[in-house]
Amino acid sequence: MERFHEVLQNRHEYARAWEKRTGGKVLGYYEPYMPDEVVYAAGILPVRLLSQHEPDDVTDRQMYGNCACSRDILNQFIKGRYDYIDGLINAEGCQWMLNAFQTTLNNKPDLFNHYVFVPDYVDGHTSKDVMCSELNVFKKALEKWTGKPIMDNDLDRAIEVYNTNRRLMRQVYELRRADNPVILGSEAMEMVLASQVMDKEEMNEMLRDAIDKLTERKPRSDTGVRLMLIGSPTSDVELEKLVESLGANIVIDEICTGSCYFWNEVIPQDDRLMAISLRYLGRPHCALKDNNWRRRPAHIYQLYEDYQAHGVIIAKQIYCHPHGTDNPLIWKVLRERNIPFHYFERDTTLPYEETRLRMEAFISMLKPELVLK
Amino acid sequence: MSKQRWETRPLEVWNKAKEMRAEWQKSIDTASSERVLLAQGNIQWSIGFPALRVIEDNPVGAMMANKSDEFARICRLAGEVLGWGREVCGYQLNCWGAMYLGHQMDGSPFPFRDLVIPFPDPCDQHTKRGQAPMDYSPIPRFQENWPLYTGPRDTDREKAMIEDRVYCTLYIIEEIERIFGQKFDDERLIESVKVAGGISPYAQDVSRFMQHIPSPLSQKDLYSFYTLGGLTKSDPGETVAIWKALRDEVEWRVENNIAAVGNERYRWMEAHPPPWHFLKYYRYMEKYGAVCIGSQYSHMMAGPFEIKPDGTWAPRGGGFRQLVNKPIKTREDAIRAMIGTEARGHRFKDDEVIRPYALNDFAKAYKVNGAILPLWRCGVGCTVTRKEQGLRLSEIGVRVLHYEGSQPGDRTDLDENRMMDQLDVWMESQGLRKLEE
Amino acid sequence: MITAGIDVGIESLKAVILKDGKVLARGIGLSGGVNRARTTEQVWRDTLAAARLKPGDVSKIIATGQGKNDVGFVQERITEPVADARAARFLYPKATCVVDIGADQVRVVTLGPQNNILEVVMNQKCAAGLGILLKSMARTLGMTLEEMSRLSDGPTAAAAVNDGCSVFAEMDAFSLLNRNTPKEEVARAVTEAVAVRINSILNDKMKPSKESTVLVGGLSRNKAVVNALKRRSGINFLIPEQAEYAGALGAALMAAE
Repeated sequence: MERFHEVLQNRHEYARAWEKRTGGKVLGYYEPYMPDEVVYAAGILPVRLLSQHEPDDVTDRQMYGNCACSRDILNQFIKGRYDYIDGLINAEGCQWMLNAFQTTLNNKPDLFNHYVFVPDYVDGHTSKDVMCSELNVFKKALEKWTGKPIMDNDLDRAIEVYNTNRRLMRQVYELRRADNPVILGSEAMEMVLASQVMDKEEMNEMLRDAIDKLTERKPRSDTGVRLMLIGSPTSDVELEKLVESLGANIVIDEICTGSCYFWNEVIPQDDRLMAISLRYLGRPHCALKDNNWRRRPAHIYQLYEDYQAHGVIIAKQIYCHPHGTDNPLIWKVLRERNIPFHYFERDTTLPYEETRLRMEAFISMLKPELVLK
Repeated sequence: MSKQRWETRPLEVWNKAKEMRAEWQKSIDTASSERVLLAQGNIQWSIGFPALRVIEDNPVGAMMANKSDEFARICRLAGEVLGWGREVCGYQLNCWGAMYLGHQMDGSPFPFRDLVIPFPDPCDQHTKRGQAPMDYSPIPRFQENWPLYTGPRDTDREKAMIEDRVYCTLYIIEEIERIFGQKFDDERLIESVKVAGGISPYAQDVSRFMQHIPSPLSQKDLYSFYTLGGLTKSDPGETVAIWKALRDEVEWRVENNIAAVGNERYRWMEAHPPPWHFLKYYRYMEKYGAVCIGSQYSHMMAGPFEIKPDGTWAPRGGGFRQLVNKPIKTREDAIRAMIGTEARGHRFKDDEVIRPYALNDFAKAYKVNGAILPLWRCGVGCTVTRKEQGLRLSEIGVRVLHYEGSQPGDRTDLDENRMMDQLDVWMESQGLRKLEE
Repeated sequence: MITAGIDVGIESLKAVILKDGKVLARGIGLSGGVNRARTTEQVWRDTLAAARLKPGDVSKIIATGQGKNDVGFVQERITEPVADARAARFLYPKATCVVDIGADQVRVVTLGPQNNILEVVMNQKCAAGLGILLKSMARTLGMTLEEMSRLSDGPTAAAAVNDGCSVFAEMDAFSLLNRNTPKEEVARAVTEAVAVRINSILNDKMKPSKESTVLVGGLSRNKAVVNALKRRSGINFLIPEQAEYAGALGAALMAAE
C-alpha cells in the first residue's frame, strides 16, 4: 500500500523518471472521458492532472470563480511542477477544466494539445459515431505528433492492459464488500489515484502483488460505520483518513477519480475505436453527462446496497456546477429510500475541525443503525 | 448639466417591440389553459409544432430578479433546501425554485412543463438544463450534442457531428409526434427557416450601425429587441418586419447623428448579461457621457462577427445563421439549413475556445475605450475566461473594470454601492468627471 | 495657499493640511462607524488646532476614502486611487506604481508618464489579505497586532490557512490551534495567507515594477506582512514615512492644483 501512496505523493518525480527511463512522452489530461487507451497505444504515458492544496497567488490574474481543482492545476503549471508534461488533452467535460486547459495553453502555447469532443448526449443513437470519429481524429493527431502510426495491435494491447487494470481494481473493490474489509477506504482511493498517474502495466504488477498481500491480511475486527462517498472529484485521501480516525470506513465511492474511473471495461471488437467509444459513453457518468436517462441515482443506490453502506457522504467542491445541479435528484432518491446522507462543501483546504465535527456527528447518528442492521 | 453634443430621440419602434414581448409572455401564461404543450427549451424547429409553446428558464429567472427580489430569494432557498448548490445559476434557481413552490410571482400556478427540448448550452448548467422539471415529475427530455473542438476548422471532422445533429433533430421531432400525438408541420418549419434567414441581414445592420460615433443605440435599447426572433418567439413575418423597421430607423439615426447618449464621449462594452435588477448603472454611466454599445450577448441576433483578414467586420457565418442559398423542400432540408455548415460555434462559450480574441475584435470594431466585465461568482458561463479577456483587452489599450456579483438573476452578492464606487474610480482614473449629477 | 485633504476610511480617518507643498499638520482618529460625520469633524478640528489655523484659513478641502460622502464641509471629493497616485508621485517622482493596503481594500494603481493613471486594480469583495482579518486573528491569538507582527516575521510557516476567504482562513486557524499548533506558527500562516492574497492582486493586470513601487496604507506598518509580501512578489517597496496618510496627502495636493 505504501508504494501507491509514494507514487501518488511523488507523482511528478515518477513521471520524470518514466520519461527518462523510456524516452517516451507524457500527456496530461483533465477529464475522465479522455480515451486513455489511444494515448497508451501510442506509447505515451497519460497522466491525470490532479490538484494539490496550495496557497495560490498566480491564477487570480486569469481565473475567477473556478473550482479549486481547476485553479490549482493551472497554479502547478505556472510554478513549473508539471514541466515534464509534453502535451495536454481535454476531453469535453466541465467548463472549469476546459478553462484550465485553455489558460494553461495560453501560458504554454508550445505544448502539443488536442480537444476530444465527447458527446454530452451520451445516450444518443449517433453519439457513438461522433465519438468514434473524434477518436479517429485524435489517433491521427497523435500519430502526427509522435511520427509513429498506431496499429490495431497497439490498440489491442492497450485495451488489454487497461481492462486488466480495471479487473484488478474491481477485485480490490470487491474485497471492500466484506463485512470486515481488509482494506481501508483511504488505501483503496490511493490505489485508484495512483493508477491515474502511472504506467498501467507497472500498476498492474503492483496491484497483483497488493491483492496477494491483501488476501493474507487479517481483517479489522472493528469495521465501524460503513460509508459511501459521492461528489466532486478528489485528489487526495484527507477526508477518508479523517473518517477512519473516527472509527468509520469508506467502503465504496461513486467519484470520477474513484470507482467511476475503472468500473467498466472495453468490450473488444474489430472496430477498436468504436469499442473504446462505447466504453466511455457507457461508463458510470460524471454528473455533467448524466443528463437524459439519469443513471447516476440507480448506480449510486446499487453500490450502496451492494457494499452495505450505512450512510452516504456527499462532498461537493465549491463552485462545482455539474454536481451542484445534479444533487437535487440524488438527494430526492436518497430521501425516498430513507438513506441517511450528509452533504457538505469542500474547498482548497479541508477545514479540519469543522469537517471532523460534521463527520463525527454523522457517524454517531449512524451508529444506532449499525446495531439495528 | 453641460449642453448636449448630439440630438437624442426615443426609438419609434420601441412600443411595437414591447407589445410583441408582452404577447409572447401571454402565450406562455395561457399555454396550459389553451391545452397546448409547454416545452422547456427553445429551438427553431419547435415552430413546426403549432400546439407547442417554448420557454426558457433564463428569461424567467431574469424577470424574477428584476421584478421581485423577495420572491426570487424564496425560490432560491427552496432550491437550496432540495439540494441545489448555493452557487448555482440564479436563473435556474429562481425558475425551478418557483416550480418547487408551485406558483409564480403573482400567485398564479407555476406553468409546469410537458417536455424538455434542446437549447444551445452556453455553460455547464445549461447542459443540464431541463433536468429540473424532468427530475421533478417524469416528462420526456430530449437532448442534442453541441460540438466543440479547438484549432482551425476541420470540415472532415465535422461531418459526423453534423449528421449527428440532423439525426437527433429528426428523431426528436418524430418522438414528439409519437408520444404526444402531434403532427409536425413541415411547411411551417420550411417557411420559418426561410423567413428567419431574413432577420439576419437586418440584425447585422443594426449591430454594425452601432459602430458609428455617436452610437444610435445603447445597450438598453438593444435589450428591448435582442430576444425577438430568438428567446422570444412570435409570428415570423412580424418578427422580420420589426427588425426591418428597427434597421431603417437606426440607419436614419446614423445619417442624422441622432445619439443614444447626447454627450457621448466614452464608449464601453460588456460581455454577457448584466445584473437584471440593477440596470440603472447604464444611466449612471451616462452621467459621465459614457455609452454602452453592447456586448456579444446583446448583439446575439446578429450572430458572432469577426474582423476578416481584409479588415472588414463581417458575420462569422456558417454556425448560427441558416443557409438559405440551397433549395429547402423537405423537413431534412430545413433542418440542415438551420444547423448550417459549421458544426461548432453555436454557443457563446464556443467563441471563447475557438476565438479567444473575439472580444478584442469587438472592441476594435466598435471603437470602445473601456470594457466592464462582471465576475459572476455563480454563473460559470458568464464568468469563464472573463479575467483572461480582460488581460487581452488591456493589451490593446482598453481599460477594463471587473465587478463581482452572484449571477445576473441573483441579487445576493452584488454590492450596489460598491459597484457605483468602482464606476466612479474607473471613470475618474481615466480623467473623467461627471457631466451631470 | 493652504489646502487640506481628508481620507475617511472604514476604520480610521486621516487629515493633512498643506501649505505650499509642505505638511503643516496631520490628524488621525477612528472612523466611528455610523458616527463618521461627527468624528470627521472632530479630527478636522483637532488637525486645524495642531496647525494653529482657523477653518477660514484653508482655501480648499478635498475628501477621499470610502466615507468621503459623509463629509459635508469639503469643496470636492475624489476617489481613492486618484489621491494615492498624486501622493505617490509627490513623494517619489519616479514612482510607477502605488499599492495601498488598508483595512478592507487593496488598491494597485499603475502610473503613467504624464501623471495619468494607466490602470487601477482593486481587490474583489473578499476581505482576506486586509487589516480586518489580521486584527481579528490577533484577538483570537490573544495578542496585539504589533506582537503578532513581531512573532510572525520570519520564514514561511509549515502550516497553511485558506487564502481565498477570511472566514475560511479563521476557521482554518482555529483548526490549527485546536490541534496544538503553536500560536507563532498560526500567526505566520495567517500572515502568509494575507501576503498571498495581496500578491495575487498585485499580479492582476500590470505587474508592478520591482524598484519603483510605493507602498502606503495602514498595513504598510505591519513588518511581517510587508516582508512576506516582498518575499512573494520580489518587489522592494518604497514605503514613505507616515504612509497611512498618503490618501489625505494626495487629496490635499490636488486641492492645491
